Amino acid sequence: MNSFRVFLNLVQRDLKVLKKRALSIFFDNVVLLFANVILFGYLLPAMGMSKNLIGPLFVGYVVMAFFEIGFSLSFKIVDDIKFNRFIDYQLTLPISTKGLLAQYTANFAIEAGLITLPLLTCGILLLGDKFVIVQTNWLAFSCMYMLSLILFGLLFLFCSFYYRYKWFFHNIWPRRLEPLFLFGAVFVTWKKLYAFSHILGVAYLFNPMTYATEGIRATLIGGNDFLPVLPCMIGVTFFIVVTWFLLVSAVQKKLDLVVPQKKSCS
Amino acid sequence: MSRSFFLFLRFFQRDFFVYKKQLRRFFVNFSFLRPLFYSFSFAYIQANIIFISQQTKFVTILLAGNMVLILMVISFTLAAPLLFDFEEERFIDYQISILRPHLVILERILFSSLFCFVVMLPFFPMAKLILRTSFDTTHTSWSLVFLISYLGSLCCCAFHYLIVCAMKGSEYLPSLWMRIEIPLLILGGYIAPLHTILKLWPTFGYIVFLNPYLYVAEGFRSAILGTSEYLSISACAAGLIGFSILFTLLTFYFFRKKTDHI
Repeated sequence: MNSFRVFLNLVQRDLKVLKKRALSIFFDNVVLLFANVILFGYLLPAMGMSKNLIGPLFVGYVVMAFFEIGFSLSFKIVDDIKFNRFIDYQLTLPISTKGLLAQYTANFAIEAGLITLPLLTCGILLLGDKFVIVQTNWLAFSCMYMLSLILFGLLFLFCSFYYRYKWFFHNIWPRRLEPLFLFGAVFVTWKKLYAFSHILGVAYLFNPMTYATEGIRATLIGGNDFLPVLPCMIGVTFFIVVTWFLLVSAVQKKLDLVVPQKKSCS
Repeated sequence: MSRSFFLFLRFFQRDFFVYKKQLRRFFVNFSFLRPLFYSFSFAYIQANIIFISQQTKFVTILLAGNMVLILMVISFTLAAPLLFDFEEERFIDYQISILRPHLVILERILFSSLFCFVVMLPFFPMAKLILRTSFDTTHTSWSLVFLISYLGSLCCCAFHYLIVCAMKGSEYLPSLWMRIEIPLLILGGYIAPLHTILKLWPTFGYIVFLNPYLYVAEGFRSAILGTSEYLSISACAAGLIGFSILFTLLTFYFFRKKTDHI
């Protein structure tokens, strides 16, 4: 019970910090939103892209926003582990390490949700009838969105704890994040990719981003152009479990001074 | 004069020594991995799935745009240490005590542009190896590609040094990407060439001429495809040189403001 209260207090603290940065974050994202609406709504169709792809690709942009927000979270944690070590204080609080990790994930989910959901709504409104919606399943969409946020939160937490400071800043984008979103059905729909190349289609199924992006598309837009919702939910849940175990092991290696530090942290 | 020139060369040598150690990382990330991923994902998969007709042309259009992205990231990576130096060690104070401030910044811009140019040289050959016939190089003028590569590097480095000198602090870095870099990239011919933008917005579209990234993307397209559809090489080169001079002069101003305590 005490742990839960600490958990809530930490969430409340993070929300306070977020409130202070809210205006700046809002402005950043509004600028980015307009640029992306112009890109997906006007420039790409003018180059010959089918109008049916506007909606799915715009959803891909929202997934890209998860990457940017996740990287900001990682940036802070990596910096904290190297310099401020505020995390040492957090570890002394009456909350387990796993509870603290859950709080970090919840913080990411809340922050990313608060930023991206208005973006998605405004984007849909700005795109108007260019964003074709067949049938939205709101309940499934909420679940899928939540699962995706948790997956991203855990993934970026894992990156923050697993990689060393310098390696993280120099190599995380070209060696880890870019392959994840470039080969994760973010900029194409999986069914079109599978029709283009069966091998690539199957290969993309090993990437968790495929399930997250396609799941959000399938629940928000509906229709038969995307992977079915259930396999996406199962896929994302599977990767959440895997990432959680990897994260716990990475945190132990990084923060537990009793366990010998191995060279596995790249 | 000769002493300043000698010191200028020594600074150049020092930077070369510092970055020589990181050359492998730069080559792996920017000359191998990114060309590989971008060629495959953007130019091969996207061009074939999203743009059903004229794939070969779109491969080149998208590749040229991606080159701008790579240039932008490398030049930013090279300029960013100065921002952190302003906030922490201030090694720059030592440098400006022995060489005139504008020569210090000029040396950094020139060194970074050369380094940037060398690192991105393998991009198109790598892309050609991966994409083979999908990447049409029959009308490519390689000397013009190299010319635009260098001028693009120079312009991007001058631009990023300007940003670093004008920026209040490193806490604004995420905002820099979201408010300036990504919008400039998207509206600067990263994906859509100039003629598409002008066709969509005949009057408003001319604003994009103020975007330096446009000249890099259009220059590459023009040099690779050799058609008159894109801005001419001479216009791109003139634009890039003009912007490089402007950004360098502005960098001098902001650099002086940041380092001159009197």
